[in-house]
Amino acid sequence: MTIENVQLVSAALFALGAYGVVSRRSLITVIMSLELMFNGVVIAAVAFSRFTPAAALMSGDPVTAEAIRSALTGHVFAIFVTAVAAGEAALAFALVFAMYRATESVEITDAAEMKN
Amino acid sequence: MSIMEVSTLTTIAFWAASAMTLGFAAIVVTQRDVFRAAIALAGSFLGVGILYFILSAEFVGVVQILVYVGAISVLMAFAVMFIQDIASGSRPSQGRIVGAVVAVLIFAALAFTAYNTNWSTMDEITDPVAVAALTEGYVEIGEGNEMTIVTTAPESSTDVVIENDGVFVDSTSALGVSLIREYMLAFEIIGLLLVASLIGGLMLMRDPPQRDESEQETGGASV
Amino acid sequence: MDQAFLDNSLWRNIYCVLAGDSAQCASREYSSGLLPGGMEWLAFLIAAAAIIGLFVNGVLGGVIVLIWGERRLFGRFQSRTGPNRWGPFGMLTSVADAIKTMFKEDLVPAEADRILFNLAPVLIAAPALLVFSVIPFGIGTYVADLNIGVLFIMAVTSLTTLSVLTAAWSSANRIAILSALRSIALLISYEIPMALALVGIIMLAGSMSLGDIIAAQNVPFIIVQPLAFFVFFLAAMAEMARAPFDLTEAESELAAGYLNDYASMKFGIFFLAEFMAEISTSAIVTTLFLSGWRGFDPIPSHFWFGAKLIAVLFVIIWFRMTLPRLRVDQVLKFAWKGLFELTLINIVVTAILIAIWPQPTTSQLWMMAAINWPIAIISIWGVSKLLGTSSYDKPQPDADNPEYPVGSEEIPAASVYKAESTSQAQASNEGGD
Repeated sequence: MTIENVQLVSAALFALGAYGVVSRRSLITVIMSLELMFNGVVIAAVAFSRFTPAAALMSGDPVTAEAIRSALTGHVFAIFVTAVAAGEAALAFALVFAMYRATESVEITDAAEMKN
Repeated sequence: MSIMEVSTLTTIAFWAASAMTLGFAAIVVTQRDVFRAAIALAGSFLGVGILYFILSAEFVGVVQILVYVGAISVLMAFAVMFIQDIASGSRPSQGRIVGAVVAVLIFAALAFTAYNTNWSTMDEITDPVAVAALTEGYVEIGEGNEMTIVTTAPESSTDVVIENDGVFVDSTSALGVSLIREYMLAFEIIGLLLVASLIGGLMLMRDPPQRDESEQETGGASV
Repeated sequence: MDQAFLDNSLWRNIYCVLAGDSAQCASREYSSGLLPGGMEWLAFLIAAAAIIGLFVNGVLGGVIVLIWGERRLFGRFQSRTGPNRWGPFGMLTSVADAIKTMFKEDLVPAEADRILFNLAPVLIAAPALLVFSVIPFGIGTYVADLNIGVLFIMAVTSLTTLSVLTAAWSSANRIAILSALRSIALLISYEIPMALALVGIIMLAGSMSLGDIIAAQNVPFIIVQPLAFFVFFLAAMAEMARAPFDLTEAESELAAGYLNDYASMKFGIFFLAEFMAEISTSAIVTTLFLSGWRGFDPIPSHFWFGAKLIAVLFVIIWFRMTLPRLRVDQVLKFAWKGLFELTLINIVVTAILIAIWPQPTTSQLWMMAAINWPIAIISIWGVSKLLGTSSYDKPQPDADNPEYPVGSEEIPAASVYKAESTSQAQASNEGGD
C-alpha cells in the first residue's frame, strides 16, 4: 500500500464515476455516479494526509500544536466534502422530483429541450 | 519511521477493500435495474469507509458510514421507490463508447501523474518530537502562545498539561480542535449551507401552485 | 490510565499460545509458541477466528436464552406460566421453535428480485452482530477497543435502514413498501436523539473509546446524566422497533409488514436480528450508563456485566408488556419535539459543568449528579407539557346525545341503543333453543 496504489484506486473510482455520468440515461444513476466521483477525490485527499508530510513539520521551526494538526488537513477536507455532498444529494433529488412532476420521466434525453 | 511501513495484512486488507469498492462501483454504472444500482452504491460507500479505516482515518471512516451509507443511500433508494417509471430500468444511452474512452483517458492521466510525481515521504521528517507526535504520542504544556510540545511530561510542572495520542493513532481530538480553531469559518458556513439545502429541498417539494388552464401547457416546475 | 485495566487479555492469551516469541508476549511467561517463528500472521488469523467464533456463538446462545426468557416473563406478567412443555421450565422451547422454522417451506414471490430478496436478511443481521465487537464483556474480554467506539456503534446501527428498504422493495409488494416507509421514518427520526444523548457521556469521559468510558465511571453515568439515560433508552427502544414503538410489526394491523413475504429461515434471521439488537442495546446501555463490568472485587467482572445486562433486558421486556402501542404521528412527534429538545438541554448543561470541572473526580461527579437530576426532572416535565396530552384523556360529551355520560360508570338503560330489540332477540334465541 504505497501512495501510488491508493492514487490508482482513487483514479479508478473517479473514472468509473465519469463513465457513469456520461453514459447513463436515468437521472438518478447520473447522480449516483456523481457521488462516486466525490468519493474518489476524497480518498486521494485522505491518502495525501496519511503519506505526505505536512509542510509545517518539515521546516526546521520548533513544533507547535498547530503544525501537528496541519497533518490532518486531508481529514478536514474529507469531512467538509461529505457534508457538502449530503446537502447536494438532497437538493439533487428534489430537482429530480421537480423534473418528474413536469415531464413524466427522469430520462435525461427527455429534458433536452428548453421551455417553449 | 514506522508510519510509512505497513504490514502485509494491511496491504491485503487494502486490496480487498479496493476490490469491493471498485466492484460495486462497476455494478452501479452498468446495472440496468436502478434499485440494485442504489444498493451497490451503498456497498461501494461501505468499501470506501473501510479504506479510510485502513488509511488511519478512523473518524472520517465512521462519518462516511454514518452519512453516506446511513443517509444518502437511503435517500437514493427512496427516490428510486417513489419514481415508478424507472422500475423498468435504465437503458444506456448512445454515449457509451465515448464515455468509456473518456473514462480510460482520465484514469490514464491520473495514474501517469501519480506514478511520475516525486512524492515526499514521511521519512523526511527529522524532528523527533514531530515523529512522536504523529506516531506515538505527545504532551502539550502551557497555554495559548506559550505552549510547548514535548514527548514526555516533566515530573513537576504547574502548567496545564494535556497528553495526546499520536495524531494518526487517534485523530479525533486533533480533528475536533482544528475544526474549532483553524477552520471555524468553514465550519459555520457548512452549517449555513446545510440549512440552505434543507430549506431549498422543502421549497422544491411543495405542491405546485394552482395555475389556469392556458398556463398548464407550458409545464415546468416553478417555485 | 492503568494499562492492565484495558488490556485485551483474551486475545493475548490465544495469540501468545500460538506464537510465543513475539514482542507482545515477551513480558508474559509463555515459553514458546506452537507455530514456527515466521508465521505470526497465521497466529493472528487463528486467534481472530477463535475470538470471533466465540463471540458470535455466545451471542446466538444468548438470543436463544432470551427468546425463552422473554416468553416466560410475558407469562408471568400476564399471570400465567409461559412455555413449560419442552425441557425443564420450558428451556428447550426456542430450540423447538428454531427446528419448526427451519422445516417450513422457503417461499420466494414470483416477482421478487431474487438477489436482493436473499440479501436482505444478511444485511439486517450483520450490523446487529457487528456492535458486539466493541463491547467489553469483562476485564480484557473484547474484540477491539476502537478509539471511536461510541461513534462506531451509532454508524453501525444506522445500517439497518438500508436493509429494511431492501427487504421491502425486493418483495415487490405494496403493503410491504408502505410498512417499510413508516419503519424507516421511525428509524431515522430516532437516530439523532440516540447519537446526541451520548455527547454528554463523551464529554464526561473525554474519549469515545468504550474502555475509557468504563474507566471514567467512578460514579455510574446513569446517576450523573439521568437525562441522557432517559433519552438514550427510549431512542434505542424505538430503534429496535420495540414496544411501545412497534408500529412496524403491529401484527394485528399490517400482517407482519415488510417481512410479509419472508418464510422459514429468512424470517428466522429477521427474528434473530431483532433479538440480537435487543441484547446489543442492553449491552451498550450497561457499558455506557451502568459502568460495564465494574463491580466489587471478589466476584468476577463477567458476572457483574451479565447481571447488569439481565437487569436492563428485564426492564425492556417490562416496557413491552406494560405500555400500549403508539401511533406513527405520536411517535414522530415524540422524537422531534420531545427527545431532541431534551438532548439539546443535556448537551448545554453538561458543557457548562465540564467547563467548570474539567476531568472530574468522583466527588465532582456526585456534584454534577446533584445538579443534573433536578434539571432532568424539570425538563422532562416541561417537555411533556409542551407535547400535550391527547384529546382522548378529557372525554367530551357527545354532541348528538348530550345525556350520555361519557366516561361514567353507570349507563342508564334508556341511553343504550336498541335496548329493547336486543332483549327481544335474546328472548327469541332462548325460545329457539
